[in-house]
Amino acid sequence: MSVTDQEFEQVVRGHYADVFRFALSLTKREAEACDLTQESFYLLGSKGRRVEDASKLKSWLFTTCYREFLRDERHRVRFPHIELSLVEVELPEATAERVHEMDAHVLMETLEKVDEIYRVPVMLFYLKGQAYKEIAAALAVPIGTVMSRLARGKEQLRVLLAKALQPRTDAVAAPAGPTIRERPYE
Amino acid sequence: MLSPRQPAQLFVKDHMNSEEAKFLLHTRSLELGDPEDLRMAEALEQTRRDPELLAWFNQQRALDAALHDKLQHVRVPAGLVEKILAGREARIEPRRNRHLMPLALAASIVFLISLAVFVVGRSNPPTTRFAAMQAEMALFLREFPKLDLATDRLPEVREWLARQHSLTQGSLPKALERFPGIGCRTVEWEGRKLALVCFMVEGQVVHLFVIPRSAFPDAALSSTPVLAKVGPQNTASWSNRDNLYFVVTQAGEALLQKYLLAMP
Repeated sequence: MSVTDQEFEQVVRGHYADVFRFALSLTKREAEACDLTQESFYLLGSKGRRVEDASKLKSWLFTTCYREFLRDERHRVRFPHIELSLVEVELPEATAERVHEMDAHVLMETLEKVDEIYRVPVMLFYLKGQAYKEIAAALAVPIGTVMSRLARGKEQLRVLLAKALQPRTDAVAAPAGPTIRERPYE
Repeated sequence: MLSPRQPAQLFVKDHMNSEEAKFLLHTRSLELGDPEDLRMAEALEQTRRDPELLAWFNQQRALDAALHDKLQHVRVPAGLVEKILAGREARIEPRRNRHLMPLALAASIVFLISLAVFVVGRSNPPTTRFAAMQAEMALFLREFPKLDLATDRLPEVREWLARQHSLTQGSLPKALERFPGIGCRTVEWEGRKLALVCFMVEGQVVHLFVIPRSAFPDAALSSTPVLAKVGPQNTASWSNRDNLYFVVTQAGEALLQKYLLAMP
């Protein structure tokens, strides 16, 4: 598919915000997220003919954004293995009502604390509403692995959210946060 | 939201336990549709047999939806769209015929060698950050931009310049001050904040950037406007003691000559 100027601008305006938010969750820095977002769209502009199906443009952008991030993160440990169980802690429950009341930047900060291996599928799940099969295709990992990471990432996020939502006076006494063992789901 | 229904129609030998169902349901797409596969269908059926699981699932879906909504409120930097669009225009290269690639490569090498010889013999390299900014802004202004302040009253523009950019009275060139304004805005470029003021000159839109000299130490501009064509736009650049000025317009060069070159 050839991406014309008009189509390109339409795609940019339709998707740049979500791509930026995804990039921000990866880089944790606004300036780097802006660069990563621009780079993703630049690659679309220069290699857009490779995207065969217009309906898949957004997936292509997220995948490209992630690949460009990985390309720049040469020091990254690809498969960290975390040997701890989910810690059950007494924290305020993270509910939809509480999330509605919280600031968006607090949510973003909380998401940034989720381990990267889980954060990426979780962000794709929430930003794009992708099903696990699409996420598996985007990240080029087995479906079972994505399901495992998604479930555990969401659980990690839930506990971190509860921690973020608790009153500041309790913050000192709170545990360091959830730690999760990754296991493949078959 | 789901609600309890009749027992499952799906044939399964053994029901999955609620922990396994929770694990699967965690991955259920936000967009409600058919179950992704047989196991997801089974997990959904399990919610109809297990009220506790159903309550958990409904709560989880509500939380998922809230998180999805809240993420849409994460602030996106202003001007990012313009940067993406300008970046594409500035950097995109035409597709080349693959059969001609070796020839093109050879020609490029010859060209680069010639260029290197040429550049080494010159004291000032032709490319500066100011020139890069000019190229991007000329592309950015192909369409009329959104304004932070829409007004035809120059006192309001001056006040805005003073408030937003600490630019003093007299920052606007007298050659343009006689014309009605359209408005102004801040454009961010590589961390620099550029003040953009738009005028209507003889029925044509003329954009003026007023930029403190310190923002582009590499800009070597004289006090006499230099006219240049950048893409489809005509431009003029000059400086005074405090500021750099960059004018962009789709009007003909004659308009710039008429008013800017006649400046005192």
